[in-house]
Amino acid sequence: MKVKVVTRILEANDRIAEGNRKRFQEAGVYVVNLMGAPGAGKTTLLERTIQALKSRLKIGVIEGDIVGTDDAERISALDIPVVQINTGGACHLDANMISEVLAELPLKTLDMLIIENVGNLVCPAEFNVGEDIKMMVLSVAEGHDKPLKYPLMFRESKALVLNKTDLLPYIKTDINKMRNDSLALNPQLKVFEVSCSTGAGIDIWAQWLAGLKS
Amino acid sequence: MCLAVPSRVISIDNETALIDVYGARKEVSIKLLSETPNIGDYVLVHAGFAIQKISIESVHSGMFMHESSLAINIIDIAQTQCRDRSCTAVDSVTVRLGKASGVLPESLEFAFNALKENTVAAKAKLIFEIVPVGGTCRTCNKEFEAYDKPYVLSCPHCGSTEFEITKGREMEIVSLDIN
Repeated sequence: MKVKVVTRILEANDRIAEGNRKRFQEAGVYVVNLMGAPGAGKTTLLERTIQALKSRLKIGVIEGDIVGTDDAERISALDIPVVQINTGGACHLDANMISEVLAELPLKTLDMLIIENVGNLVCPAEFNVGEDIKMMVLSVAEGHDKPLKYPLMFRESKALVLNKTDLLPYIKTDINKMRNDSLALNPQLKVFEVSCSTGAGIDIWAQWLAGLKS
Repeated sequence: MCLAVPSRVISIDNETALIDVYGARKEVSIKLLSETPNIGDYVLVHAGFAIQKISIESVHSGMFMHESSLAINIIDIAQTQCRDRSCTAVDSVTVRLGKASGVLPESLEFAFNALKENTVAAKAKLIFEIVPVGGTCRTCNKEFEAYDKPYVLSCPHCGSTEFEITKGREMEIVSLDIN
């Protein structure tokens, strides 16, 4: 007997993500899912962003890594609430992992929660965790071929931060191609150029991010 | 997407273990494990390294990722459907996958076959319906599909970049053949 069902395979994840989203809305916290490859500069951008916005917004952080607490320690040093999730091998965060740690954060006192996903240009884009926006960091050193090689994350993101622009004089990356291909995949994408090392562009980026929570 | 495979430890020689991956034998490094596993334990293997010791329960409960987690969701949905209709076995599951879903049918099939043992889907086949990326152009109003790439940068008819993507992200079960 043939049974028509049409069920999304990730339905279970989406259900939990919806529950997370309700909790975020009740607490009045804006949630950002920060994605990007290992070494793109996700944690460093997070540090810079927190420093730029700390006086205006109460920010909390969830750090996702396969193992270790290095990132959480770096964020904790900035004196803001942070929880580390170790996925123990899994290549992305899913809605259930987030739901399990929410009780450890003072959600009601936060304006913004930034979830730093596991370093990976592929899988994290596939799993909703209940966030308001997904965004990604791509360092210019990763090469201008990346948008077309990993289209899903570029398409799912609302903002793209091109990091390490201070390296441009030393590498062959064509940042215009990087930006144009990203925009071709996702015309609504907001693209920012920053260098977390020199601080260039951080203010403009942080200003935009803070504007989302209003 | 990534695939980490649950495997049983057969023997251990220093920092290398011989493992059984659903019938295939393979040597992997156990350097990354915090403690040496015992013979018979299950470990998660990724790219030649045992990355984590896992319990036999978790082998069946889907604690690992990635196509594996999708396969487990498929088996769960099949089990629920079977229970609701009081049937005992699933012959096949038809799955619709978009070209831009990021899922590799071969990996999903591998994971599904590895995990279906002792479930209502034990003898089930996976049937794939692959959906190309497609959309509608806002300039010439024509519909289009892309067969070679998981993305579209401009309308293949008129070259416009004003278009709407309407398909290619599917990741769903379409139907089940049960008895």
